[in-house]
Amino acid sequence: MNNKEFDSYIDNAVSQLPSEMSPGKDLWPGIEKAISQPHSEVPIKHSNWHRYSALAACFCLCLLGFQLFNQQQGPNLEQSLNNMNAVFQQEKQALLVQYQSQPAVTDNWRSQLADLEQAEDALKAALENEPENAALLRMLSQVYQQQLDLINKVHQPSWQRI
Amino acid sequence: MKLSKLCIAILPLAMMASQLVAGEIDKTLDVSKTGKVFIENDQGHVTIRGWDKAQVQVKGFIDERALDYRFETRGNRTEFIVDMPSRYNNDGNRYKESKLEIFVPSSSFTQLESVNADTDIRGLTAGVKLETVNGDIYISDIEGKINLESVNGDIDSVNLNGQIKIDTVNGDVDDQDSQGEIRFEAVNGNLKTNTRADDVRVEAVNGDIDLNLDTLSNLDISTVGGEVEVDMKAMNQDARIQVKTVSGDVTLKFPTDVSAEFEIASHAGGRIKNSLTANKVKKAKYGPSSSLEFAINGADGEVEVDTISGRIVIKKR
Repeated sequence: MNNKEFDSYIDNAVSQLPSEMSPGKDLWPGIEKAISQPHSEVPIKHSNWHRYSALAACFCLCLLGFQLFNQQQGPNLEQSLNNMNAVFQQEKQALLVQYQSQPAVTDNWRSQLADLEQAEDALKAALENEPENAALLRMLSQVYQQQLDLINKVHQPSWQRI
Repeated sequence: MKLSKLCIAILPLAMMASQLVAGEIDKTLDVSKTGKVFIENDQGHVTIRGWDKAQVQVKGFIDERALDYRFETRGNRTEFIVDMPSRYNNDGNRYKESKLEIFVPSSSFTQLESVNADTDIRGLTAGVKLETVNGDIYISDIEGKINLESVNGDIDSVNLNGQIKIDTVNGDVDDQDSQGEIRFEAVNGNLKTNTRADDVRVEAVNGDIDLNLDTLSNLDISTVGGEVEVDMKAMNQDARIQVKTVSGDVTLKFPTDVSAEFEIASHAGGRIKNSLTANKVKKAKYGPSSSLEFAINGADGEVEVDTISGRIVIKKR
């Protein structure tokens, strides 16, 4: 499927979505449960919940992102942007809490994360001037995803053996 | 008293038994030619070669810290796993690490997971998946679905063909003569490629990217920081190029006969330099944005660039 076909497919899929949506309601109880679980009880090698929740959050981010591109303007747009930001921030915090006692496999990942956070701030500032710019919204969605990917990559459970 | 003497006598034997797994190995299993081969080895060096036989052969030395190893085939799946302790001393100078040569059917899908082991893999036609931390990957002459993932390790690839995905954190990538579809994801790593792939996607954070492309249908670049230089020999009709960058400098060198519609936008203080045509960059009436839009040679393709605080240069190659 090329990009144009993909865009068309997404447009069709998004047009069938409800005009309003709540981000991943069923996801958070599972995340809260996992966070409240004592760390020692979390199986180190085969725990994939964070990966699945990250994928679910990614899906939510994508849906909200695509909804943003296809939405009109005004309060709805701002609300959707806020929803996307809220989904991302919750998922990011959940991952950071989950991994806080687990050593990362690189020692400079926080510096890379800080650069991505700066990019996020720059994009949000640009969106204040151009709130309906689809390219900027895509870039913001991508920078969100890159942050989640980075946190996950440097904490892969299967790489914690040494 | 007798019991303690017995224990003292048994202890060295038990220690010897625990060390029996380490040492030379030379074993061969008959397997399906089109099956899957899974290899797990944390330390040392692994060489994997494809061959025409319906067999998997493992030769070499197994890490002396290993507790055990498993080499078995069930149905379509063959596994060779070096079982290390759940935690162990990672001082390669104190312990003799694995040095393994593994032959697999060239038409089998091969998957490898390692921690500190370097991997050298060549001559497979049904795809590979390699995951490593701190280990370098040398890969050549592979076809199919190719998935390479490394943290702190470099990747050198030659003559990959298929659906290629290369993903690194703190690792550099040097790719030569690839073709098909290629996707790079790099954080704090440099990427250099000479590729014939017509569909190229790059996501990078703080890396320097050097793309030498042959005949392009689709190029999608997204960067945060770093510098990107793209040299395109030719573009297919309807080629689509999308570049999105935050604080990154991008230079795009187009073929002399480029036919495309250009839409370049700089948001929040970026700069655009056009050395391709005489068209001028337009500054926004309000705010720090600027843009450049034009069509050239019939506008068959599409070039869309967005930057925040970055510098965009377009020119002929």
